[in-house]
Amino acid sequence: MKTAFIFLGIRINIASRARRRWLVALIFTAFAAMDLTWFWLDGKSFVGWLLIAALIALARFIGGRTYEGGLLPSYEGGDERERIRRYYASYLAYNYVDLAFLPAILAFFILHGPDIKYASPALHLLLERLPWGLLIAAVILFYTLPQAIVLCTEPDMEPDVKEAQ
Amino acid sequence: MNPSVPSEPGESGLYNRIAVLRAERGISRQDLADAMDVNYQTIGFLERGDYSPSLKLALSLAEYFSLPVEAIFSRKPFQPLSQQVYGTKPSDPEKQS
Repeated sequence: MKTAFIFLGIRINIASRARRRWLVALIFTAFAAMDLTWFWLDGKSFVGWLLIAALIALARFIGGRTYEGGLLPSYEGGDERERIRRYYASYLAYNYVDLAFLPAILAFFILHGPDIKYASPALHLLLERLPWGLLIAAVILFYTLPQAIVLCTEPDMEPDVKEAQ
Repeated sequence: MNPSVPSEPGESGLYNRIAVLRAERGISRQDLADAMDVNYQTIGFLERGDYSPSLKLALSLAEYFSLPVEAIFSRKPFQPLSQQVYGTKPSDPEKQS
Protein backbone atom coordinates (compact mmCIF):
# COMPACT_ATOMS: atom_id res chain seq x y z
CA MET A 1 0.00 0.00 0.00
CA LYS A 2 1.28 3.46 -0.79
CA THR A 3 1.61 6.07 1.94
CA ALA A 4 -0.51 8.66 0.10
CA PHE A 5 -3.16 9.03 -2.57
CA ILE A 6 -4.41 11.88 -4.69
CA PHE A 7 -8.09 12.86 -4.43
CA LEU A 8 -9.34 15.77 -6.54
CA GLY A 9 -5.78 17.01 -6.90
CA ILE A 10 -5.15 16.92 -3.14
CA ARG A 11 -2.38 14.66 -1.84
CA ILE A 12 -3.66 12.81 1.22
CA ASN A 13 -1.06 11.20 3.47
CA ILE A 14 -2.27 7.89 4.88
CA ALA A 15 0.90 6.59 6.54
CA SER A 16 -0.60 6.87 10.03
CA ARG A 17 -3.26 4.33 10.97
CA ALA A 18 -5.05 6.82 13.23
CA ARG A 19 -5.29 9.21 10.28
CA ARG A 20 -6.61 6.44 8.04
CA ARG A 21 -9.28 5.54 10.60
CA TRP A 22 -10.41 9.17 10.73
CA LEU A 23 -10.53 9.22 6.97
CA VAL A 24 -12.69 6.08 6.87
CA ALA A 25 -15.01 7.54 9.53
CA LEU A 26 -15.25 10.78 7.53
CA ILE A 27 -16.05 8.98 4.26
CA PHE A 28 -18.71 6.77 5.84
CA THR A 29 -20.23 9.78 7.61
CA ALA A 30 -20.45 11.55 4.24
CA PHE A 31 -22.07 8.47 2.68
CA ALA A 32 -24.53 8.19 5.57
CA ALA A 33 -25.39 11.90 5.22
CA MET A 34 -26.02 11.46 1.49
CA ASP A 35 -28.16 8.37 2.12
CA LEU A 36 -30.19 10.21 4.77
CA THR A 37 -30.61 13.21 2.46
CA TRP A 38 -32.03 10.88 -0.18
CA PHE A 39 -34.28 9.35 2.49
CA TRP A 40 -35.87 12.72 3.28
CA LEU A 41 -36.10 13.75 -0.36
CA ASP A 42 -38.70 12.47 -2.74
CA GLY A 43 -36.75 9.36 -3.75
CA LYS A 44 -38.47 9.11 -7.12
CA SER A 45 -37.71 12.68 -8.13
CA PHE A 46 -34.93 13.55 -10.58
CA VAL A 47 -32.78 14.88 -7.70
CA GLY A 48 -33.40 11.66 -5.79
CA TRP A 49 -32.24 9.51 -8.69
CA LEU A 50 -29.27 11.81 -9.27
CA LEU A 51 -28.27 11.50 -5.62
CA ILE A 52 -28.46 7.69 -5.74
CA ALA A 53 -26.40 7.58 -8.94
CA ALA A 54 -23.80 9.97 -7.46
CA LEU A 55 -23.66 8.03 -4.21
CA ILE A 56 -23.14 4.65 -5.88
CA ALA A 57 -20.64 6.04 -8.43
CA LEU A 58 -18.66 7.71 -5.62
CA ALA A 59 -18.66 4.53 -3.54
CA ARG A 60 -17.51 2.53 -6.58
CA PHE A 61 -14.80 5.11 -7.31
CA ILE A 62 -13.53 5.18 -3.72
CA GLY A 63 -13.97 1.53 -2.84
CA GLY A 64 -13.56 -0.10 -6.20
CA ARG A 65 -15.40 -3.29 -5.12
CA THR A 66 -12.48 -5.58 -5.95
CA TYR A 67 -9.67 -5.96 -3.46
CA GLU A 68 -7.24 -3.91 -5.52
CA GLY A 69 -9.49 -1.35 -7.24
CA GLY A 70 -10.64 2.01 -6.01
CA LEU A 71 -8.76 4.93 -4.61
CA LEU A 72 -6.44 2.97 -2.35
CA PRO A 73 -3.30 2.50 -4.45
CA SER A 74 -1.51 -0.80 -4.40
CA TYR A 75 2.16 -1.48 -4.91
CA GLU A 76 2.77 -1.82 -8.65
CA GLY A 77 5.05 -4.84 -8.33
CA GLY A 78 2.35 -6.97 -6.70
CA ASP A 79 3.77 -7.16 -3.18
CA GLU A 80 2.90 -10.52 -1.61
CA ARG A 81 2.12 -9.18 1.88
CA GLU A 82 -0.20 -6.54 0.49
CA ARG A 83 -1.97 -9.08 -1.72
CA ILE A 84 -2.55 -11.37 1.26
CA ARG A 85 -3.90 -8.50 3.37
CA ARG A 86 -6.25 -7.37 0.60
CA TYR A 87 -7.50 -10.91 -0.02
CA TYR A 88 -8.13 -11.28 3.70
CA ALA A 89 -9.95 -7.94 3.87
CA SER A 90 -12.17 -9.01 0.95
CA TYR A 91 -12.84 -12.33 2.65
CA LEU A 92 -13.79 -10.58 5.89
CA ALA A 93 -15.93 -7.94 4.17
CA TYR A 94 -17.86 -10.30 1.90
CA ASN A 95 -18.33 -12.75 4.73
CA TYR A 96 -20.48 -10.17 6.48
CA VAL A 97 -21.71 -7.85 3.75
CA ASP A 98 -24.75 -10.07 3.19
CA LEU A 99 -25.85 -9.00 6.66
CA ALA A 100 -26.15 -5.47 5.29
CA PHE A 101 -28.51 -6.67 2.53
CA LEU A 102 -30.69 -8.73 4.88
CA PRO A 103 -32.40 -5.77 6.63
CA ALA A 104 -33.23 -4.27 3.20
CA ILE A 105 -34.71 -7.54 1.93
CA LEU A 106 -36.65 -8.07 5.16
CA ALA A 107 -37.93 -4.49 5.04
CA PHE A 108 -39.14 -5.03 1.45
CA PHE A 109 -41.10 -8.12 2.47
CA ILE A 110 -42.55 -6.63 5.62
CA LEU A 111 -43.31 -3.08 4.48
CA HIS A 112 -44.59 -3.96 1.02
CA GLY A 113 -46.85 -6.73 2.21
CA PRO A 114 -50.48 -6.50 1.09
CA ASP A 115 -52.09 -6.26 4.51
CA ILE A 116 -50.11 -3.43 6.06
CA LYS A 117 -52.27 -0.57 7.40
CA TYR A 118 -50.40 2.63 8.27
CA ALA A 119 -51.47 5.12 10.92
CA SER A 120 -50.65 8.12 8.76
CA PRO A 121 -49.75 8.77 5.11
CA ALA A 122 -46.49 10.45 6.22
CA LEU A 123 -45.42 7.34 8.13
CA HIS A 124 -46.41 5.24 5.14
CA LEU A 125 -44.20 7.36 2.89
CA LEU A 126 -41.21 7.10 5.22
CA LEU A 127 -41.57 3.36 5.72
CA GLU A 128 -41.96 2.88 1.99
CA ARG A 129 -38.54 4.46 1.48
CA LEU A 130 -36.85 2.56 4.30
CA PRO A 131 -35.99 -0.60 2.28
CA TRP A 132 -34.47 1.55 -0.49
CA GLY A 133 -32.40 3.53 2.00
CA LEU A 134 -31.13 0.27 3.53
CA LEU A 135 -30.45 -1.15 0.07
CA ILE A 136 -28.35 1.88 -0.90
CA ALA A 137 -26.39 1.56 2.37
CA ALA A 138 -25.77 -2.14 1.61
CA VAL A 139 -24.51 -1.34 -1.91
CA ILE A 140 -22.14 1.30 -0.49
CA LEU A 141 -20.78 -1.22 2.01
CA PHE A 142 -20.42 -3.78 -0.79
CA TYR A 143 -18.22 -1.35 -2.72
CA THR A 144 -16.21 0.12 0.12
CA LEU A 145 -15.89 -2.34 3.00
CA PRO A 146 -12.79 -4.31 1.83
CA GLN A 147 -10.71 -1.17 1.42
CA ALA A 148 -12.06 0.31 4.66
CA ILE A 149 -10.86 -2.84 6.47
CA VAL A 150 -7.40 -2.55 4.87
CA LEU A 151 -7.19 1.13 5.81
CA CYS A 152 -8.27 0.52 9.39
CA THR A 153 -6.12 -2.55 10.09
CA GLU A 154 -2.83 -1.84 8.32
CA PRO A 155 -0.29 -0.72 10.96
CA ASP A 156 1.47 2.64 10.78
CA MET A 157 3.66 2.80 7.69
CA GLU A 158 7.17 4.15 7.35
CA PRO A 159 7.62 7.29 5.24
CA ASP A 160 7.80 6.56 1.55
CA VAL A 161 11.49 6.70 0.62
CA LYS A 162 10.93 7.35 -3.07
CA GLU A 163 8.35 10.10 -2.53
CA ALA A 164 10.50 11.78 0.12
CA GLN A 165 13.36 12.16 -2.34
CA MET B 1 18.42 -3.59 23.25
CA ASN B 2 19.83 -4.16 19.80
CA PRO B 3 17.05 -3.12 17.38
CA SER B 4 18.37 -5.32 14.60
CA VAL B 5 17.86 -8.53 16.59
CA PRO B 6 14.24 -8.58 17.81
CA SER B 7 13.86 -10.18 21.22
CA GLU B 8 10.24 -10.95 20.38
CA PRO B 9 9.24 -12.72 17.19
CA GLY B 10 6.37 -10.34 16.38
CA GLU B 11 3.10 -11.47 14.85
CA SER B 12 4.73 -14.02 12.57
CA GLY B 13 6.27 -16.11 15.36
CA LEU B 14 9.54 -16.12 13.41
CA TYR B 15 12.90 -14.62 14.31
CA ASN B 16 15.10 -13.36 11.53
CA ARG B 17 18.48 -11.81 10.81
CA ILE B 18 17.49 -9.71 7.82
CA ALA B 19 18.33 -6.37 9.48
CA VAL B 20 21.76 -7.65 10.58
CA LEU B 21 22.56 -9.07 7.15
CA ARG B 22 21.37 -5.91 5.47
CA ALA B 23 23.48 -3.69 7.76
CA GLU B 24 26.47 -5.96 7.27
CA ARG B 25 26.27 -5.55 3.52
CA GLY B 26 25.32 -1.87 3.61
CA ILE B 27 22.03 -2.43 1.77
CA SER B 28 19.04 -0.16 2.32
CA ARG B 29 15.52 -1.49 2.79
CA GLN B 30 14.62 -0.01 -0.56
CA ASP B 31 17.51 -1.82 -2.30
CA LEU B 32 16.52 -5.12 -0.76
CA ALA B 33 12.85 -4.51 -1.58
CA ASP B 34 13.73 -3.77 -5.21
CA ALA B 35 15.81 -6.92 -5.42
CA MET B 36 12.99 -9.01 -3.95
CA ASP B 37 10.28 -7.20 -5.96
CA VAL B 38 8.30 -6.31 -2.85
CA ASN B 39 7.28 -3.06 -1.22
CA TYR B 40 9.95 -1.63 1.12
CA GLN B 41 7.29 -1.61 3.86
CA THR B 42 7.24 -5.40 3.61
CA ILE B 43 10.98 -5.54 4.40
CA GLY B 44 10.26 -3.50 7.55
CA PHE B 45 7.44 -5.86 8.57
CA LEU B 46 9.73 -8.84 7.90
CA GLU B 47 12.56 -7.38 9.99
CA ARG B 48 10.24 -6.68 12.91
CA GLY B 49 8.91 -10.22 12.69
CA ASP B 50 5.41 -8.96 11.91
CA TYR B 51 5.14 -10.82 8.64
CA SER B 52 5.83 -14.44 7.82
CA PRO B 53 7.19 -14.57 4.25
CA SER B 54 6.09 -16.99 1.57
CA LEU B 55 8.45 -19.87 0.85
CA LYS B 56 9.32 -18.18 -2.43
CA LEU B 57 10.30 -14.92 -0.72
CA ALA B 58 12.23 -16.73 2.02
CA LEU B 59 14.19 -18.70 -0.60
CA SER B 60 14.79 -15.55 -2.65
CA LEU B 61 16.21 -13.83 0.44
CA ALA B 62 18.43 -16.83 1.14
CA GLU B 63 19.66 -16.76 -2.43
CA TYR B 64 20.24 -13.01 -2.27
CA PHE B 65 22.32 -13.24 0.92
CA SER B 66 23.97 -16.53 -0.26
CA LEU B 67 22.98 -18.22 2.97
CA PRO B 68 20.76 -21.18 3.88
CA VAL B 69 17.20 -20.23 4.87
CA GLU B 70 17.76 -21.42 8.44
CA ALA B 71 20.59 -18.88 8.81
CA ILE B 72 18.09 -16.10 8.14
CA PHE B 73 14.86 -17.38 9.70
CA SER B 74 14.35 -19.35 12.87
CA ARG B 75 11.54 -20.29 15.20
CA LYS B 76 13.94 -19.81 18.13
CA PRO B 77 15.80 -16.60 19.01
CA PHE B 78 19.15 -16.23 17.30
CA GLN B 79 22.25 -15.99 19.48
CA PRO B 80 24.02 -12.62 19.23
CA LEU B 81 26.97 -12.85 16.85
CA SER B 82 29.50 -11.99 19.60
CA GLN B 83 28.24 -14.87 21.66
CA GLN B 84 28.23 -17.24 18.71
CA VAL B 85 31.74 -16.35 17.49
CA TYR B 86 33.60 -15.47 20.70
CA GLY B 87 31.50 -17.22 23.28
CA THR B 88 30.99 -14.01 25.26
CA LYS B 89 27.65 -13.22 26.84
CA PRO B 90 26.05 -9.83 26.38
CA SER B 91 26.88 -7.57 29.34
CA ASP B 92 24.17 -6.51 31.74
CA PRO B 93 23.43 -2.82 31.08
CA GLU B 94 22.46 -2.29 34.74
CA LYS B 95 25.90 -3.47 35.90
CA GLN B 96 27.59 -1.11 33.49
CA SER B 97 25.78 1.99 34.75
